[in-house]
Amino acid sequence: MKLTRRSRGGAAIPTASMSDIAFLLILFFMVTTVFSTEQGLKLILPKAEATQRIRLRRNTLNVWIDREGRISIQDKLMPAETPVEAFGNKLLQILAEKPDLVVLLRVDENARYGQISELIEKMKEVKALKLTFATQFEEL
Amino acid sequence: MISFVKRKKAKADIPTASMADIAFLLIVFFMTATIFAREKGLTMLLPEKGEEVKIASRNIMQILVSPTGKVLVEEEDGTLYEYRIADIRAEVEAALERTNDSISVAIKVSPLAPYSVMIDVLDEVKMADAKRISLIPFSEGGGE
Repeated sequence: MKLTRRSRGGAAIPTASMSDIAFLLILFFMVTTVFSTEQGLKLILPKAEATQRIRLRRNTLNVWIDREGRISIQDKLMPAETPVEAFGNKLLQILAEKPDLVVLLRVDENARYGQISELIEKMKEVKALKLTFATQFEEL
Repeated sequence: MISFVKRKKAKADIPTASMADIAFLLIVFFMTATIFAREKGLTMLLPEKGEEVKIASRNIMQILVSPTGKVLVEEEDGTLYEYRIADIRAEVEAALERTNDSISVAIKVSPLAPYSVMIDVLDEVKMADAKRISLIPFSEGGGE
């Protein structure tokens, strides 16, 4: 019997277009990524020299208060009649999930202090004790 | 007659070998240059309701803010003087030094005062490195 050796084709994976594929992937993810950001309210933060960065971002709750005294949490406006009560209830709900909650008060610099004081008292009541007043860095 | 000689056309080629390098340089540049908007502000730790500690009044330095945004600071002898916001830091630092850091700063702001004045005062007190700061609601213990 006659055995003929078959010629073997060299096995090769074409790698020249690998980078093209990688870039396509990068572009695809860049285009489809949506960062979860809150709309919030329109306001100007006060400036402070002692401004510090906040470490734990996951535990922060943004509370927006504009100069008219409207309060917005997680893009929901608190009802105008009982904003402080609604704020307290909302805090209690969120505290149940995240006990080390840091409340970040983003207050317009022209807001009246009275309402902020009420909110702080409410926070003491519901035991949300970590508080940060959002400010901008003040350059000297 | 002029003879037309066909010129040899050079092949037009864009070198693409370093394209990937350029792209990576761009990626690395933007990765290092990007700053994520980090949350920042003045941090405070509130006392629990009903757990307020009584402190002897001589260990408290009171700072009051009036509805119009005027700042009054209690001096050593217990009298109130109007201060400019820029001068508060030196005053608090002096008080801290005098009492060997045992003083607490109590900030009492009128509900009608603008929030920015309260932040300015709090900022000055924080810059003076006061450890014990409390925000006192105006209703408690009378006002002006």
